[in-house]
Amino acid sequence: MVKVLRNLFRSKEFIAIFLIIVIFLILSFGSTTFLNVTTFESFQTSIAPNAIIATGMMLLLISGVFDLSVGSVMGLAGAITAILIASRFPVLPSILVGLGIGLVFGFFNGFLVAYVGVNPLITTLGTMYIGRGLVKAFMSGDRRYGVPVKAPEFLILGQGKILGVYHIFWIMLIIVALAQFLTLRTDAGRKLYYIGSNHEAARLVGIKVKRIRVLTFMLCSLLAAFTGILVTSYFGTSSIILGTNLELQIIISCLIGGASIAGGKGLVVGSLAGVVFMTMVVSVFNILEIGIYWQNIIVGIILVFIVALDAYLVGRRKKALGEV
Amino acid sequence: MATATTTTGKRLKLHEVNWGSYSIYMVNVLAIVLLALTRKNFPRYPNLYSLVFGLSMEFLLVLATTFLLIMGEVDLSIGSVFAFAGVFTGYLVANLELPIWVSIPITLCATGIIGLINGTLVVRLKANSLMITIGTMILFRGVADGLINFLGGITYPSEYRAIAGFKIFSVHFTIFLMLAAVIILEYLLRNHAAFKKLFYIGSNTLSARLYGIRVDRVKLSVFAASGVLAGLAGILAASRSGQTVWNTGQGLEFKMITAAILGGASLFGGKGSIVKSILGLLLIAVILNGLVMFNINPVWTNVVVGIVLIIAIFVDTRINRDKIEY
Repeated sequence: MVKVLRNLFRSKEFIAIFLIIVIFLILSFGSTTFLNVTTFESFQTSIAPNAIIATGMMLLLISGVFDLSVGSVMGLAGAITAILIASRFPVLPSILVGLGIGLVFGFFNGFLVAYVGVNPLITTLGTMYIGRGLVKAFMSGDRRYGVPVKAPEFLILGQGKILGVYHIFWIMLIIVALAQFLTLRTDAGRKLYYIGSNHEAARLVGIKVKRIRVLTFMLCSLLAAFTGILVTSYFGTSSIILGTNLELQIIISCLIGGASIAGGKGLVVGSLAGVVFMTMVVSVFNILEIGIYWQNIIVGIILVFIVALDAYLVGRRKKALGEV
Repeated sequence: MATATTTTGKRLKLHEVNWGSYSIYMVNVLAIVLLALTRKNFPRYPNLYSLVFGLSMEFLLVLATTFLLIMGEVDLSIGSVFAFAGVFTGYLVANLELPIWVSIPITLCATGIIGLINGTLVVRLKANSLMITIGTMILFRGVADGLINFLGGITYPSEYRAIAGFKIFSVHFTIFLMLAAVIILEYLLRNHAAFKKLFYIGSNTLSARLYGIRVDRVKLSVFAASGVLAGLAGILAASRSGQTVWNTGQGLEFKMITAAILGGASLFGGKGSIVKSILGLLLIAVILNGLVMFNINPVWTNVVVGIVLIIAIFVDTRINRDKIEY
């Protein structure tokens, strides 16, 4: 028991959970509007989409790469699905097209990173701009204020509830649980950690590094596209700004939740904790009525701080191993 | 007989010339000739002049990006610093009513300090410069947006707006500035010891350090210079447009990296040339100008630049693929 507790306190995930509890207590006692049903409802719909994307991002970060195009893929998949359904295309094929866009972007990212060897940041920065540009191109003219979707069988996906909790939230819980199980209890998941720790060694022991890279990128983009469709269904309309600037918030959430830019570390549950933390920070902003630009400033400071801390910890570990 | 000269002055035969290193010249000529032949509005003087003038507004950023890429570092915050510098100078001139010749040095000091912060974090903590500068990119985007909101969309005073309009022999002075800077810096980069250090650091940081180059100090000063250059470019651009809007400079960092890599710089460091980076920027400007000439909706701009970036990086990585693998 003592050992378990000691490990818990030492783990990086603990920082996120500790911060969440602190902010939660401050909000509960400091604000009269925080603890009520509306907050609980809005928390479900703000945590779930980010947590689904963060799951995919965490898998990438564990294996030592990341993806900046998730926000654009999310926006593009949502926009295309909404446009198709609004032009009387059947619902299921429309959703499949949206998911297909995710797979194409993921494959493109993964192929360039794994087989061509392009820096993941630059690759996904490029696909981020391409995706965002495509969203703007498809949503131009009359569509620029959004494409409303009225098909009830599509809207149920995002607006329906089971036991008073949104479908999105249940889906998120299932995906997180599944990904957590896969990473810790199956060979395929453990390979991600091997690749993240030392991809050269992983290759030498016979792990198909390149193939797994591509599949992880595809999974991440697929989850992002799926989230875009869910959120579009929740709002009942597609939006040109859906997913803008989301990628960094997701990466920050994962880093707070115990991942490292260097790879080989992190738990999917940690990314969920990180997302809950970031959502809480944003709700603090909203309760205190802090403007959007201040939010950017604070998010930027958090990112610089987290990356600097991460670099410091990696440097210390390397020094301890005598690698410097 | 046709010959070319290497940097060491040795004469080369035609078949010994590395034609790959001249590809940016050829692609530029090809794109310009193609547009000139198909669109009769393209080769007109006003269009070409506005193309070059636009280039002279942005070239300072590509200088910063090239110097950093030669060392194997990247600064993604330049777009935000660009917006910040424009609006901060506007704030000093319009709200605090400081004279323009005081406001500009203050702004440049501020952006230099931003560069120093980036550099310090990268050098001291050995953090990934891409990630750190993405953080400062969002941070200073927030600061710039806050200031823009505070100023409430005013048009800047005329003494501020007059800077970019200043002309010598009815040609904007920024064009002369660009030509002078490119020639001098290209010469220094090839011949001066202080600038050659950048290449040594980019090729192999460890051996550069062993040979007594103060790597940390050089990196710090180039990051600071990157901040100052981005600030100067931002002031010029804000002076030209007369105001700063919320998306000013967004995506510029990515355009500059594309330009530098088109011009032969590499994300792996150790390579790069000022003249070719400017030509890379020219190529992007020509392509975007071509889109306008063919009446293509400007929303496709980012898609096109994104595709050009991916192709450029694809080629860069093919050439350097023995260096690194992800």
